[in-house]
Amino acid sequence: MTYLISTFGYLSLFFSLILAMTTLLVCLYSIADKQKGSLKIRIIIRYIFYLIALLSLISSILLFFAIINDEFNISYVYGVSSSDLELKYKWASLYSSQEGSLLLWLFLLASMIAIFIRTTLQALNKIEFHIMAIFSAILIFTLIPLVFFTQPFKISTIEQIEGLGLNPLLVDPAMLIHPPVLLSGLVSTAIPFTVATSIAIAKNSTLFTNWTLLIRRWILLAIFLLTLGNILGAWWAYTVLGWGGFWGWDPVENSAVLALLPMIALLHNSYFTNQKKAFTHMNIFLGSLGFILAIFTTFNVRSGAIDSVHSFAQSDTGYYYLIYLTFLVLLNIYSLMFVQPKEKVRIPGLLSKESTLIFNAFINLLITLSIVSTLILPIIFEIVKQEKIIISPSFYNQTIGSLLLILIIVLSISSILPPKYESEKSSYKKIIPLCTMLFAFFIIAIATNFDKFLPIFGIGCSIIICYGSLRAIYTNLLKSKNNIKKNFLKQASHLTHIGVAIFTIGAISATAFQTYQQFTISPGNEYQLGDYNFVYHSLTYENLNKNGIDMEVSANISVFKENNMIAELRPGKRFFNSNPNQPVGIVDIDRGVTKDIYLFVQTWDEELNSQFHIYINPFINLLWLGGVIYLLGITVALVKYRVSYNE
Amino acid sequence: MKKINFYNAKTQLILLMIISTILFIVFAVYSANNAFTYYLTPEEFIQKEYNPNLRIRVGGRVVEKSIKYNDLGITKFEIFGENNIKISVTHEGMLPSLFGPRTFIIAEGLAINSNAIRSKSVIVKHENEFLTDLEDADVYVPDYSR
Repeated sequence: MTYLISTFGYLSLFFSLILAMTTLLVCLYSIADKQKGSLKIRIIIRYIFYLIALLSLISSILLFFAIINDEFNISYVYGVSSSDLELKYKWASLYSSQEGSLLLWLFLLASMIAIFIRTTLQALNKIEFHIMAIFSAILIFTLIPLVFFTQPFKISTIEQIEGLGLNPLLVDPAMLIHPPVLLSGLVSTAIPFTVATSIAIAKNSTLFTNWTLLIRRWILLAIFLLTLGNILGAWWAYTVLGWGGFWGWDPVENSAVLALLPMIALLHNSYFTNQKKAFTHMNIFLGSLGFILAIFTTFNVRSGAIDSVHSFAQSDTGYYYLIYLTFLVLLNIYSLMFVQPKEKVRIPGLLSKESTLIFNAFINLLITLSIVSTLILPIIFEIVKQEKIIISPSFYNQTIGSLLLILIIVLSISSILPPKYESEKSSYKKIIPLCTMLFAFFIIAIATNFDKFLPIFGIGCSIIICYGSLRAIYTNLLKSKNNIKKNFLKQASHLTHIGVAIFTIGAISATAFQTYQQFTISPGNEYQLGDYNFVYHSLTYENLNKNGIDMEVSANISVFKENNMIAELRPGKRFFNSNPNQPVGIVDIDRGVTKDIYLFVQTWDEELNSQFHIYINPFINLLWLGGVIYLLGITVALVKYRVSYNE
Repeated sequence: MKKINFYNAKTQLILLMIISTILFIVFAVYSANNAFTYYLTPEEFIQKEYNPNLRIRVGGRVVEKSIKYNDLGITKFEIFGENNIKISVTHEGMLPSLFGPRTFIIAEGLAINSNAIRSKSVIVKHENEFLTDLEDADVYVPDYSR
């Protein structure tokens, strides 16, 4: 069975590579041959892409089947799985290491390309061969490592009867969905990249101005998946890592958010291309940047060029991705040479919706460039000065934090400006209440605690965004009593802005107003923090023997407020068979509307005296709620564009 | 030469972007002064001239049986690099999951002397191939039937 799986799995990948190479040659020939290729060739090539998607599905299923059947003689299965893993965690084993994650990347990419060809390519049939040539090249770059140097179906030279097990940090429900969603998001940026580059190279002037509208659903899908992937990652960090936060400015976390920013900028900027026939060159650049940064991210994570807690993804393939990245950058530069901006942008006034849209895209781009610089700088430093440097989180808090604050200010101004520009005077009139409110916040901040001025200012702006967006939704729906459903779909942008504002309030509250305390107590004793009393009863041990977990040790804590017990918490540690000296913490959280009580046990001694860390995070659940509302807004926009596209 | 019209909204917006970018770069350069942390191995740390103001990260494996916790949340331990050169780490704050003896950690902080640092942040690198016995775990593990 092992040999059968290995042979069929490898052959599927090998044939996919041959097919992709053939497709690339045919497409290049058809582009060079001005006949533009016959309809028959187009149809055959389309079916070849469906076949590659099918073959990648088969190879993924075969690897998953090998993991389920404990085929430990396959090296990958031996390294990431064990016989005591539950089925759901065997799913996580599929992408928990280099070879499997690349295979999942291939499957997601091939599937998205197939769906794109089926649903959207018809509208872009004038540049069909350009699109399919770039798709083929991307597939070839993805397949080469799988076929030649990170083979998921490689058979071990030594017979293995048991596997090493899943990486302990991945034995968590959030990890069943976070990596596939984030990978899908990164992969989905390949669509805007391919279309933007193809249009530029093909010099199709008609498509220059409406391509973002034709693939709007794909841009929205990329934003949806990347946002969801990052939120799930933040959720995992919050519930597993035990440090009470959700974002640590780790280089890999920063990399994960990189591809999202140009997609958001593109979405905002595309308004000008569609409505005013402007910024075409900028949108071609932004459309390509998402995927370039996705590959840059992959290079960062897999090369080990940066130090991160996510080092388990590290491998020797990193520098292959540097070649891949160079190819994409060169292709992008080459394509941009064909774009000759002739259009003139007209902005009605500085305080207009148009200005805020442009400024929003500009800040997104500035954040992207800042993060890229901070990721590249240590590498340059090491090459030039032979010294390794790391950039501290405080730098990100100050710089990216200030840009995010500017973004929130711009959004709050935008939310209260009228949709159509009237005059500079009337715009100033509109923002006077905003300025008054912010001034009031400023006074409150001075009266309470001046140190917290910026967080309070950020929360104030976020409340204004909520107010402005809700008012806009109400006004728009009131205007169209007859067609509320259709008009509701048009409120997607307001809904996402409300999501952003609520998310910001949650993030600021939980970061700037967090209470933290650590203490050591013995069983039977209690510790007081503010209004809360924490009574530590004992440690309990549970022998699990599943999912690679040897045992779980948890501390029993009762939380009292004004002599009433409000929660029983069980933070602890999980000991794994394969890595007993590296226990994974179990966080326990008492979730509330206004605050989370977050408890983590660091260690204990022979007398069971234990060291605890308590975090009280006010309004952190607004962060998750804001994320959900944001995703809901994107979903509404996806439905809206499905409707308008069909129309 | 074409005269710039400062009353034009487009010009104002471009100027706003240029000013924002310049201010941001100045601010970023100013912030970066305190944000660079040098990454060193224990050997490099010992060889480097002692500088109490230099932020450093030192990466090495935690020495077995060297971890000492106290009631104030301060943890002391040693790490070693190549050639078995050891340095002491005094860590204040939370330690991450997976921290334990022989794990590869990176401690960030300031040098106390030429072979000791005081850290406020520790990250742990997880390694699949690194296997030890349960008896080596540094927290107290009770006897229980297997």
